[in-house]
Amino acid sequence: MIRKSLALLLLAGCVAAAPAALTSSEKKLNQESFDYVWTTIRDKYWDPAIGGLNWQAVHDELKPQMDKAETMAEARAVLEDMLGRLHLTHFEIIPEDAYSDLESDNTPRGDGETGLDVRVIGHQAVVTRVEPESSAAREGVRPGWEIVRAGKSQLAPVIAKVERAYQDSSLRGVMLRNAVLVRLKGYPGDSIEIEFRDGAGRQMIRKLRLDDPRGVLSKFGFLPASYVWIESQKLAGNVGYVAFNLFLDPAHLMPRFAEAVKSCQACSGFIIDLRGNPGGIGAMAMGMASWFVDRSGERLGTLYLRDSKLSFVITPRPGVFSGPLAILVDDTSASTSEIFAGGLKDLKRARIFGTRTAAAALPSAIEMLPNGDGFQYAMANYISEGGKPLEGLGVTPDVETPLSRTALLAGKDPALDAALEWIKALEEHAQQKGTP
Amino acid sequence: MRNLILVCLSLPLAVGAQDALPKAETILDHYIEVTGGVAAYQKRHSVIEKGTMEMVGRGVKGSITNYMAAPDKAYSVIDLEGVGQMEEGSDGKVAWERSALQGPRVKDEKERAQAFEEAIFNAPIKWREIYTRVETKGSETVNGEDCWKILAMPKSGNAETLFFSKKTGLELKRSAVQATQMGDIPAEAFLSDYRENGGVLEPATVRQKFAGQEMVIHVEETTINPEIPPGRFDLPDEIQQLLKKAAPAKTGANAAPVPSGGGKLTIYMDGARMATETYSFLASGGRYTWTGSGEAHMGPMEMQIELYKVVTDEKYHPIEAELKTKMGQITREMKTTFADGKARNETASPKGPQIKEDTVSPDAVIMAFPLPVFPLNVLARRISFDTQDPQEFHAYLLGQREIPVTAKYIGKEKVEFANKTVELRHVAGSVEVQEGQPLEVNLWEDDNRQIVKLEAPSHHIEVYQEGYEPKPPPQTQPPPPSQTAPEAK
Repeated sequence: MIRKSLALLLLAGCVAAAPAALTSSEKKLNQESFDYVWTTIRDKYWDPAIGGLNWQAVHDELKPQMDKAETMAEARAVLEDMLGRLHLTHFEIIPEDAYSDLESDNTPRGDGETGLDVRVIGHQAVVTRVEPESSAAREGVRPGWEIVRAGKSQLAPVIAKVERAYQDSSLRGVMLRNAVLVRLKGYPGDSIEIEFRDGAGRQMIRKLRLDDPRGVLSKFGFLPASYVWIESQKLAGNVGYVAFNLFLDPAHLMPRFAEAVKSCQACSGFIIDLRGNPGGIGAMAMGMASWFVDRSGERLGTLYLRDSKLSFVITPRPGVFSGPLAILVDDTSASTSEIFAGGLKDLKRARIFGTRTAAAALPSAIEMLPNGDGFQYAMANYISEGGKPLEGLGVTPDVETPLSRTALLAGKDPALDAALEWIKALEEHAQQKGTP
Repeated sequence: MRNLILVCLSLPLAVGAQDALPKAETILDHYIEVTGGVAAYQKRHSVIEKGTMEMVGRGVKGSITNYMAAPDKAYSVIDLEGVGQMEEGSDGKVAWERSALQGPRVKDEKERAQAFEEAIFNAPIKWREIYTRVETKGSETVNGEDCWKILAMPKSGNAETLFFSKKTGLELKRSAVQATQMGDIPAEAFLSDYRENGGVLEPATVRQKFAGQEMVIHVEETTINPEIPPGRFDLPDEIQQLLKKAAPAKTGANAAPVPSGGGKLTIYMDGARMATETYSFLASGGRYTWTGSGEAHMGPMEMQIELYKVVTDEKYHPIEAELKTKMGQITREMKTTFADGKARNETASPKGPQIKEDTVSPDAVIMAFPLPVFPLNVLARRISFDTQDPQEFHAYLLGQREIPVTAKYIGKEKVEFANKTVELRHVAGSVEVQEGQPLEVNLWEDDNRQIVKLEAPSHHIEVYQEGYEPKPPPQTQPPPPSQTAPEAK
């Protein structure tokens, strides 16, 4: 099963499917899917005026195109065109392939992972993390190395293409990361040859064995199954640290998160690393925030539906951690990550370190279309507690710490280092004042 | 003349139409009969239901088990695929929830009242205990079936609309604004697939629609009068911890910063008693709630303040307010909610709710003019005693407009009452209720930030807290005899 994240789904939606002529019954299902998508937006979009769009005119313009669509790619393009008129994230068509063991280019790919995480920095795919015990770690791959080629795929043209497509989009970081990561996958047990360039510019070719995916396979609704992992540790200076890749699988993730906080009651600070986390179930943001907010009735923000509004209320836990809280984000932190970080920033409960988030934070649902594709649509607008939407704006860190290849090669993590410095300074200040 | 005839002609028709509606009481009692009768219900003391639930169209499915026991105990657990467990419980004293998503929490206010109502065992035969008023509002079709539509007002919580089949007498639909942790949500429940369980017909399928979602619960197995596992309705440890944590604030122990309480104010005009107000103050669940009522005699007019309620968060930012007054035959009912810098006033009228929106500062103090006075306790709590500089506030005259208020802490003073002298904090304020005409007010508050005395000299108004009676005016001394009747000598 392919490891899928919400953001990977976005990528999958952008890759063209191999054309295949449709049968008349498939055409009919596509037409029904068109009506389903159009009607859902008409009836459920939070603004009955649909942002001033003449929705009927959109229907009248695109319906004939759907009737003429001869391939699934053409049919999806019509639906994506319709959703694109809204100019918002979280309105996506998820190809049926995404639910099977095929990528949308029909190339079989497994869940196997190299143990590398990456970001595109200055047009280069750069290793940002090497999973301990992974084959990448065993082969001596280091953060800061550039990935030039993965298998037969040269990354420079891929990066250039995505950069062009998303040059004005806040989702650029998400898409670039996913474009690289998807090329580092394969079946567990297989190997992939990767060409790196180290800090001195030397070519380093490594054959990496693909390990089983990290985490626990989780299924939620019509989201394609995803592997969910969480890690926690105590960092130097008695600072708690938690990172997890998705806000999913609460039955597994929340107790681990709770344990990390409870075991750190005497810590001098706590860091939550949401870099690379594209979101998931929104309600988990409230459940996690409740470990850090001691006042009843506080809210992360408010969700505006067509007929009601719902507040993301925080209910304090019995053992709240009241020390300094730092949250690390970057341009691949999206959706629920932004709701969590933005709300706690607005409440002045957390200090945010890193770079601006993906600005893609609309509560959404995923339903199955008659043609088998998934249909993700935002069902509400979301305003963070500070009074501003996160969609289009994102969360701006309190402390900007851009990532650089130089820092990575020097073994540094600018966002984490800045957060640790802040906690240390607060600790020293408290000691000077004589408070514990 | 023609108009008069039309009026006369229409009268019998109107009465006739009114007569065509059966009484709500009759419909509700009929429901008891068609579902099995009182005796059948009374044979049931506990129930366990097991079933499935599904978020329609979202691919989210799970199982649900309900445990219920007389008179008011309930526990349910939902296990959703990909989410985990969500539990809810109510024992008539505490209503709670614990979920894999959000952890444990204790419900309060409307949510608690709603949970208590839902936990009443054999609820259909207890509708007279649950609702204070029921009224048939007409007919409506539900899934193609003609139904009587009944408006039911619970003792507390939001109004419910119930739909009963004219043909079978069974309840087919229920709509209400549901109180949730995240706020009020309009919800509809469609009841179907009635099945006999221990002599009582009950819907096995409930299709709920709320917040753009649809959820179907299907009961597959019902056991009547089972042995409920011991401790099933006990409060989980985490809930007990939360209750312990909240207890000091509720009882006022450990010098809780905001103790709950209340009082009674008597308002005098020109020394004559004009009005009384009784109010309570509750600090719970991150909210402060002032609720009160009163009556006033202003010349020939009598005014009943049936309800005045203001709810704020812990920063005293208003969340909602409610006012219900009656002056002569004129009733005024208004509900106001505050969000995003707006006050949304919904006033009841024969033509339906009238909406008025005003721009309001998020930290505005909610006032009503001229009465009641007790909401000024909100202002009393917000005045800082750390400075004697003038302090500026926004006030919102409920349903009208925002006005500026200035207050200045004067200092501690000894204030004489009829039976005692007490040291209180004196605050002098000015509020521009009418444009260009500031109303000067002095108030004195105790250490609990409660108004003990208030005066508005320009209006000859004085207000006193119960237990602090006004000092009687000095008696006029009789003149010395030599001066009073010299002639009599």
